[in-house]
Amino acid sequence: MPPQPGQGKTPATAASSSTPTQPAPHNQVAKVIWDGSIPIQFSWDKAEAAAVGSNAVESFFFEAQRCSYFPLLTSHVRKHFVDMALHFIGDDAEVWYEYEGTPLKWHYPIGLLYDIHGLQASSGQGMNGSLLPWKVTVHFQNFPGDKLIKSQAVDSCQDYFMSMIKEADYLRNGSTKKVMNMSKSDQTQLWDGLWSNNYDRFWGMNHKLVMNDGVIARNLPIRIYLPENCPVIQEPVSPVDDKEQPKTLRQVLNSSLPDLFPLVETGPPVAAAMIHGIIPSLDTSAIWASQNMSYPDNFLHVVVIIINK
Amino acid sequence: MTMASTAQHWEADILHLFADRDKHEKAFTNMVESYNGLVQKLSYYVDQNKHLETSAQTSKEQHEKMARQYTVMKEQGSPLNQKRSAELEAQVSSLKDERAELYKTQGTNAQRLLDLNDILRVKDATLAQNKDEIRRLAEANHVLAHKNQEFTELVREKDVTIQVIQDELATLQLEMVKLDERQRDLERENAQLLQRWLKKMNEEAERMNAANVFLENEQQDASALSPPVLSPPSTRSLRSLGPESPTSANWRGNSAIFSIIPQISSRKIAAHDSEVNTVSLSNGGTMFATGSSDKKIKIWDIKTGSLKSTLTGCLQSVMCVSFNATDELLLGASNDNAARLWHLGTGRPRHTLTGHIGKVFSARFNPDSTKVVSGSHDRTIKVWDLQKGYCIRTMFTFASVNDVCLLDFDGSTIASGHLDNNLRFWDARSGNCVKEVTGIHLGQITSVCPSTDGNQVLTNSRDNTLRIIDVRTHETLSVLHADGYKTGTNWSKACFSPDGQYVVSGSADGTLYYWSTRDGTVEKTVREQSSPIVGVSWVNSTVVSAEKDKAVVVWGTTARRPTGYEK
Repeated sequence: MPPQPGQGKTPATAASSSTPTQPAPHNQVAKVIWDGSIPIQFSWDKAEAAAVGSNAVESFFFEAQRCSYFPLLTSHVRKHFVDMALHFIGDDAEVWYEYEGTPLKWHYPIGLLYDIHGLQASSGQGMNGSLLPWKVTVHFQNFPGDKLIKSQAVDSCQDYFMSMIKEADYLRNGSTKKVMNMSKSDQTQLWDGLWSNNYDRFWGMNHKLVMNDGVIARNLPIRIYLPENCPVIQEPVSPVDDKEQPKTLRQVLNSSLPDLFPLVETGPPVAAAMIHGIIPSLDTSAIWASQNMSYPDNFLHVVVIIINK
Repeated sequence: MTMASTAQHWEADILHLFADRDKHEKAFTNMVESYNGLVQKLSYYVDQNKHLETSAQTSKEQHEKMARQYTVMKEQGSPLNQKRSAELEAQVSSLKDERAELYKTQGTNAQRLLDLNDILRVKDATLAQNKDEIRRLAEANHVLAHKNQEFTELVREKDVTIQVIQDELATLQLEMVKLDERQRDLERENAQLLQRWLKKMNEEAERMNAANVFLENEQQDASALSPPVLSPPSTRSLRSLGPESPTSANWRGNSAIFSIIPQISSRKIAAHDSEVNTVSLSNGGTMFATGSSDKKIKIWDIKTGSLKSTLTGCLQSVMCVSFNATDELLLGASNDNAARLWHLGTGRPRHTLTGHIGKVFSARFNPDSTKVVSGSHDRTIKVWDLQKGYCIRTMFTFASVNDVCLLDFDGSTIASGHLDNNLRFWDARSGNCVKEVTGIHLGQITSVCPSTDGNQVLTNSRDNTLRIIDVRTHETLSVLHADGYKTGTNWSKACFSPDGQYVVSGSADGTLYYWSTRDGTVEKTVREQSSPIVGVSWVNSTVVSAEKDKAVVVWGTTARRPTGYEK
């Protein structure tokens, strides 16, 4: 069941009221990340609305989970606009979202999209909440097949999500055995937990993957996003240094981007690494960050923000 | 342990950062929540409104419908009354119909009454007329009765007159009978007198006769001393009298003579430098002609076997030679598509008959030598008029002609033997095919020859049989064949004996075969030659046979007098 609008839970109430079927190990950070949400204002593209004869369609406000995906919201959004414009029947497969002229990749988590398009683009100026509610434009026509992957139904989204989990598993262990050995129902539990916003259901299963049975991972599943459409950086990153000491985030980022993240700061910092809308200390252990601050797809998505001088 | 404590430190820091973040990001949560509640409510109210609108619409329609029904009810009353009024209306309309029917009947009756009145008036008039008529007739009757009485009286008077006249008549008749009797007496007297006169005249005649008889006797005695003068009837019992102009009775020669098979070779002549193609005896039997591939025709004397003349002019092989009935003209058919005519007395060519576009295989005179019939491989038979000198008829035969012959005196019926194994009969006057005789031979027909009496045709064929065909019924009378007999060439000619009792033909090995036409058996075979026989000709008791290998043999009945009937 998709989350019902208007039933968004505050972190405190969710933590206390949920009675886990498979109790997840208590992890305050993971819980806070899971409960993170942003308000989104969905507006129908004016040209399209005019084309079907609905001139003044009111925007639709929705409190979206940061870990969720846009395709999971599409049916609500569409229902709202179909209700508003009586003679209009949309199609889930044709719906796409756009922020300030940039189509939003539906296979990225919503929180990551907000971090990239909202916060990174404004060089972190929006971190005080000035961009909220996030103004997203909805389109029902002219799907930009050259910019977005077509077939964005919920099923494809699930497939993409599962393939990300498998990729992360491969990076950690050199094989996908861990994921592949899971039963079908266990695999489904991951997605269902995400979809139904059930923390215990998801983390009860995800915990095993993230903690990797106590074995130190070969590589950490980390993706680094640079501004201005630079390609995503995904390099094999060992969690420990030569002396078998756990690496810090600074060390990890330094190996990929030595100019932006020098090991020793000589002046004011040039760039900052943002995860889940916060900028954690670069001295944070990389392996800890990977275990606790990953997105549900098991990747640590790090958004690099260039600090304006 | 330091690890754990630093981890706690990071965690606290990070949790702090998250709390800071959520302060901003969850600022709108309550608002969005209540907004969503409002949206839901709005959507519910919109639905409700829509529902109410539709129900209002339905009610309005229902109301209108009811109002309409009400007006209708008001106008028409209750359904029961409507029904009754409808019934009454139906009744009224049926009554109206009935009334109309009655009016119609009444009208018809009035019309009928008028008609009857008219008829009555007419009848009255007729009655009055009849009464007048009766009165008039009664008057007339009266007049007539009166007249009748007058006439009766008149008749009675006449009867009396008749009686008187009859009496007079009886008297006169009596008088006439008496006069008749007197006349009869007078006649009898006259007869007696005539008898007496005749008797006297007879006596006088007898006296005169006696005197004549005496005189005749005297005369006979005187003439018995000189021989009597007799003119016996002229007969042509022998062909030896020489050919004359033929008549329709004898144009084929005389078949009365019994032929004897000439089986004795009396002469063998090396006739030509090249292959001999044809041979023909003259009608008189005094000479024969040969035609050859050396383009020459040679005329030979039977008795001496010497060359009489050589006729030149043909441009190709001579395929057929033919004498006319009086043996004055000779016809030669040649492969140069022409037939030529020579005068034998002068040895000069008279006509060249050109017009065929194929080899001319056969050419024949008609009996009075006025026309020539020729058959060619160009699938035509042409009839030529010798007086005019040109072709007067062309018959298209559909097959190459190997031989033609004439079947009657005026040359109007022609028989032809063809390359396609068939025998055809033609009417030269109309140019139509009279009859096509098919299926008689399995090979092409090489020659056709009519019998002397003209009732049969002999065909020779490459299937090594000969057939005698009845001209009238076109039936095969007999089939002639023999072991060892083979037809040598496509133009091998066979022929009947003059009396029609025998048939002679030469085989490919040079043997001559004589068949009897009565029973179709081989009567005799003779052999003097060794190459294929191309033709034989039989006149009187002479047969000449020509072989391909340049030699001609003359056959007779006796060695010493091979041409016994020749002068």
